[in-house]
Amino acid sequence: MRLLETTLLTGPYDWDERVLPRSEYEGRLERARAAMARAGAVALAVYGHPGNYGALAYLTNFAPKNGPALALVPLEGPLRILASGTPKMMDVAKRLTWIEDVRPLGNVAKVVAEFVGDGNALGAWAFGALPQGLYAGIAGAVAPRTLLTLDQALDAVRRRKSPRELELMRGAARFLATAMGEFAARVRAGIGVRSAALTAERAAIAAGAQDARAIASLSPGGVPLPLDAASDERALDPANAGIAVQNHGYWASGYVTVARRPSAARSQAREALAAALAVARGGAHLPGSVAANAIGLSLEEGPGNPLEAGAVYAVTSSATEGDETAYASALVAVTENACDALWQEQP
Amino acid sequence: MNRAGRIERVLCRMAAERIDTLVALSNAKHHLARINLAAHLMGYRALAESALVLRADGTERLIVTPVYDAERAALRRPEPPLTASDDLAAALAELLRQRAPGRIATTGLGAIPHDLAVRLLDIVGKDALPFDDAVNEVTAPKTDEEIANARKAVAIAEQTHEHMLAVARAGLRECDLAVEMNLYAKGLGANDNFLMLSGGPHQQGVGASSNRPLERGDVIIAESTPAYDGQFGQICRSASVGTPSNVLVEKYALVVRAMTAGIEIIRPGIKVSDVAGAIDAVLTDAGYEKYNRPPYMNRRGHGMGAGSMAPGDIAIENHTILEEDMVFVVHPNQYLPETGYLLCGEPVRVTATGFESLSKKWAELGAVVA
Repeated sequence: MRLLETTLLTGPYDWDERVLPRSEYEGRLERARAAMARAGAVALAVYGHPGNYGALAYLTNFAPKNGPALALVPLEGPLRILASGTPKMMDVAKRLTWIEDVRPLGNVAKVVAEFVGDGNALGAWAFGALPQGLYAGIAGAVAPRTLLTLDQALDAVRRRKSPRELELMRGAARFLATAMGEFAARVRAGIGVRSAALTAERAAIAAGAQDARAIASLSPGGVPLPLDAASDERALDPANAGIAVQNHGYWASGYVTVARRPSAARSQAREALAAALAVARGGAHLPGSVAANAIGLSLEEGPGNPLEAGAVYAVTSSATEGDETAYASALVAVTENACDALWQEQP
Repeated sequence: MNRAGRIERVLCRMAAERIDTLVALSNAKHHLARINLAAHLMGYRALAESALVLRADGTERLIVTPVYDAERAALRRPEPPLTASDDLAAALAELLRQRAPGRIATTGLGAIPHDLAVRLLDIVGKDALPFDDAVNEVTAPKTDEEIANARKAVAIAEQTHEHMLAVARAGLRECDLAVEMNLYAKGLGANDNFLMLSGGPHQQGVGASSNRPLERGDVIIAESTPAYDGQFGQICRSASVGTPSNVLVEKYALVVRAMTAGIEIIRPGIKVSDVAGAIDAVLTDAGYEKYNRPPYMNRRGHGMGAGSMAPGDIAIENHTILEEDMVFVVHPNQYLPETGYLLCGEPVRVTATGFESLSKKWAELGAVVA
């Protein structure tokens, strides 16, 4: 699900050791360091920004509330975070993570090069999203040492959810159900989609969600899109929505179609989803009309073709009739032999 | 000025530099304080990476991604012809293949995600001229539409501040207060809100809200910056949790006086540094000269995106000449040893002869339930 990036994250993001203890991060770090060692990297730099900080949060819990941030991970020894903001803001930034060494970004290229020291290669995670100017600066400062992209290995590690992560995603799924229910109820009552989306976000947050974002159709049966103009308030039938909610960093997302009358497209979407879920298990390929993406600390953690056991997927089926598109979707935890629906749109 | 007038200014600059094609690139980050000249020229907040291709003859084309954002783009910006694609680089390459681009200039390339930037660099060529500074310079004034939106954004900010005074109380976490303010602003029509809000008895600066609960004796400081149809408008406010002390009342009046001194001299033709200097002078007269620099303050205000940050930071080092229709916030935002960091700030538009305050009621020290 693609959302407009907000300029500043405002929800509760401070690290809560009762929810995600140090031991959880130590296990992740061990797996990341094993991947670094296999690749020959002496250090790892991990990038995150307010629109997507899943890789960064996976190792550090750090949510870069007001701008880009990097985590620097040595093969041994303490980690460091370079965060946006002035030195005065670092005390507040430290609350977001278990890492003690949190500093302003400053001359980030120079700092990264110094961190690598005499090593031959710096591993990089999520650097594909790094702004080109910053990337060129870091690559130049690190040269002639190699910059090794470790996305494939580390993304795979991140997709496999721990029991604690699964529990947090179940919580997110409950908030998603609340938001979906509220959106549907408001639209059925004839309320405009912008108000309905806002009410859905409010309901999820009141239920305990850390963040909630809703997008919706701009025309009857249209694709859900950001409602970023006040003029987007329209009563629509059918109305589609995409909603994403977050629980302690973990996202749940889904799509819903709200219509007064049944339609062939809607039935088709639901049937396709049901058929897909019936075959969903580790290694399975879903039918072409059904899209799936891994989800967790990022809204999109990788494609769902094939599905991987241990990962959680947002699965969406859509069907179009004339100008109108209908959706059916679910959030599922995939195992070796089946899938467990954490949330599914209720007919 | 309207969008056509802005494009005309860019075309003049392109002609002066013998540029045949401008490729203005947007990374889809529409931030209060970061330049996104493509969005500034488009007048459109793209969902994902996008480009405006402007030829020297005035023809233009907007390329948006993903394909399904076409409906929204056409609704928001029906004027420029539109290409919707799931692959910005491929769509740009095709467009430039259809008609020889000649000498190319770019804006925004350095902010594009690396993976995409590498492909775009291959298409525009390594000789493409970076044109960010030139476009930034000639597009500093806001359009009539942006000014109208800034007024609405500021009105939302003022109402949201009143709501904050009504709902904030000791025991409420900073982050929960910030979320409530964001939802309230959204309900009033805002599409985003750059809201820095923090509380404490003696703060060194303002930051993003944390999970810390507010306490009696705290001062809540907030930079509240809703966006309306993409245009941000900022006010800065402070409020005491419980009855404010006499010294807090006295020092807050001082920073408001400093802000007022800065705003009252605003007119076309003066330098930005004159505004900062007028603020500093009041604080110097009050015996706080050594506090007129970091870490006791950061800047005395700034331009307001999204798109362009012109006229830049309101700072003693910024000698940009003010022009009519520049829009920016003036905020002393000052640490004082007796009170900690205090915020007050008002957004203004430079008029033909002076300034227009975009806020209806200027900062006063507020108080919330302890």
